[in-house]
Amino acid sequence: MVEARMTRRRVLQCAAIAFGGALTACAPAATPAAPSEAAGSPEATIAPAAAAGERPVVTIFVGMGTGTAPEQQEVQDSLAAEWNASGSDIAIEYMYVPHDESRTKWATMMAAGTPPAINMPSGVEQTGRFQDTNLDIGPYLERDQYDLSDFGDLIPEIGKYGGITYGVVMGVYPSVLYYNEDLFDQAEVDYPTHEWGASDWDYDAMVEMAQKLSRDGSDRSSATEGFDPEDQTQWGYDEIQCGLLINALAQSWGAENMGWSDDFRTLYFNQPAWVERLQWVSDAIWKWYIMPSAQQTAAAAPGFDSGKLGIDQCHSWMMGEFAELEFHWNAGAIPAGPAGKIVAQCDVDGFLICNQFADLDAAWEVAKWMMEPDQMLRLNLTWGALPPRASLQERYIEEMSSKFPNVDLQVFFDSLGYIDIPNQETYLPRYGEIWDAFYAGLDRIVTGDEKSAQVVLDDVQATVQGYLDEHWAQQS
Amino acid sequence: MANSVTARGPSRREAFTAYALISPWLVGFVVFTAGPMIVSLALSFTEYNVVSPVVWRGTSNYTNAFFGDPLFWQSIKVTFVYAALSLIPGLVVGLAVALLLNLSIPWLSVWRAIYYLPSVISGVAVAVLWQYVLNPRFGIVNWALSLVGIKGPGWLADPNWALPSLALMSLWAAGGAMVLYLAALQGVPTALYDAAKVDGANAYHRLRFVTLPMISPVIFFNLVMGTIATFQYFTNAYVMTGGGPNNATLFYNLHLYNHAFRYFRMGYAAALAWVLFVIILLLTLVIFRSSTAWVYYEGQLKAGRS
Repeated sequence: MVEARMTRRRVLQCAAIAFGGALTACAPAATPAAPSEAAGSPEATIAPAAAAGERPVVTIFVGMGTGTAPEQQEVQDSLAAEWNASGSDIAIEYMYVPHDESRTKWATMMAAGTPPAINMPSGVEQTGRFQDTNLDIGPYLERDQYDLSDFGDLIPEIGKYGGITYGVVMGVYPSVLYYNEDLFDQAEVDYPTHEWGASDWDYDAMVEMAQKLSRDGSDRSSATEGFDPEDQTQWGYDEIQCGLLINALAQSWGAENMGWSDDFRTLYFNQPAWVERLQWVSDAIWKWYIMPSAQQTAAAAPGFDSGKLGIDQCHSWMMGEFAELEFHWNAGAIPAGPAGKIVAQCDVDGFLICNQFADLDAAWEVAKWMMEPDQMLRLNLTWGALPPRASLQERYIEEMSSKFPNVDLQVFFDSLGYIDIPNQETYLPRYGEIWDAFYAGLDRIVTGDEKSAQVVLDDVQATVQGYLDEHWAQQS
Repeated sequence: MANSVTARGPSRREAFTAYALISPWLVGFVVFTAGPMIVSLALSFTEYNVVSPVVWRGTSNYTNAFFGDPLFWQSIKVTFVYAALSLIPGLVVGLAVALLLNLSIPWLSVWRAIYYLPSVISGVAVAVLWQYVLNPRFGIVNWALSLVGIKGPGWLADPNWALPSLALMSLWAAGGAMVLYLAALQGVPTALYDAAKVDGANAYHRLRFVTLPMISPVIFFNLVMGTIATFQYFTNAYVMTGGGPNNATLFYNLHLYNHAFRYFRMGYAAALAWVLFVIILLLTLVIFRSSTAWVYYEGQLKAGRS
């Protein structure tokens, strides 16, 4: 009986230990960092420095832009090591998160009260998506009299939203026309011009050029009689695989807005310029046969690196994939649209400081150090980005020329005069749903399910306006 | 055994001991299952983007799902069409393979292992494998079709073929059901087959009137589990198509995932999850109700007769 009681007691003790263990496991790992006061005024934004003797750790979150590839991690980690070895009273720590998980990870860290300090590299989309969590760095720029004049006229605007500066651009990825010189030579077609704004360089001229490059199995071009699109082996042009957005492209067709009203209550996704621009895409696939359809893309994988594509309008980040191409390539200027305007869609990576981070001064000091020319150049070279500082252009071209000796890198820098402002990724309520709806409409064109851009965009407009109406109904 | 259970039931001390012993599981259930379920039910009446405070929205998430979200109905349609294309064919294929592998053939264990193997391979690995199989350029399916002069479709890139492609792919994992059928087939008394033969029953009659009734509880089980799994379908669509092209493979769970983890609309996603729960519950109830008409339980019959 005594043995039985002892056994029972032991069982109860074990259960209690297990219970305690479970509770311990569920407890927070650390005391959450106290959120800073609301952003707004300089006094409120700039948090007091950490107490003497402590070495605050500034965590740099990487995942929402580029920066997670092993060779990129190596460069970023070496920068952190240099800073940490410099005797600073602040430590830098990099956190790498796969892109697909990055937003969930970021949001979870915020919700758990353990926010990272800096999100870098981070695109424009994140500025809007998590705007409530981004620090207004305007007061810091003002306090330190930080000179942004080296960044050109347009670029600093990209880091702003609603008049507030959330971040500074660290790297830009303007778009150009990549072209396969070998295919041009075989077709005996002149290369696209490298001169931005050349008088006779428009989309019609490019279509004519691309048709000569589009070939079927019998080597007939898509401009000739008897061309067989069912047996197409080579394409003249593409922009779909790069993911260019219509709100930037349609500016060349005369679009007067980004696709929505200034108060974000009305969308104009079926405005004439958008319809004409999307119809151009439809015609490029189904009429001129210069762009691959979805089925052709799946079957032939005619990406630029395949050697089956003559011209690819895409961002500078695509260069990162070109180290071992088996053909000669170069970069040309984007043509003017029917409205006479040239727009080079630009992706951007910058930094954002999380306004809930405990030591905002430390985060700003680290961000400021990263903005210095030497650090910025090293980051840009590994990200595949162009440095936004005009003073770095020469050094950048020098470095990149050793990698791509025959490429006219000046074309990339010249494109900065034609980048899309506001940026195509700029804030819009229900951003993800609205653009997913647009892409579903684009799918209809690219798969041939519907070839009329008007029909597609009328449907898209009805859907996306419904999302926005619901959003505002909830807000009210 | 002085402390044994009496007719009055366990003593207080024994009950306490029992609760103490199951307490780790109870804590786990409350913290990790029941708790999140209750929280998700509460969240379904709110707007919550993870980083901002929760805002009460009443039933608007539910009304929006049914009356304001066109993709809700698209995802319902995709999921039901997929169920029609994959559920019954999957049960039939699983049973057919089990019947074949219940015969006395050489290398039986090896064949069984081969057919069962796809069921235990990771979902993502299977998805990547099938992306190769269905690739229009170098996939084995289009290659096989080309041998007989047929130009294969774009499969996953074609809105008309993407969903049938996933349904076709689901048949590959029929081995899971097959194992259960095999176990049931081997439990059918041979005396019943002998008696049927004596009565002049041919192979079809033995299958129809002996085998199928005797294994109907396993068919029922596979139907219920298959229905639940079909309505929770996610991994392959997420990896292979992302819901496209043109939302042709936007399964309900993928739509739910998009709202939760791409658009950070946790409240709406929670509402979608509870709607899914009700849909599965209703379908399962219908199947259970119908089971009295077609599921044969030997034990029940014996008990009824006795």
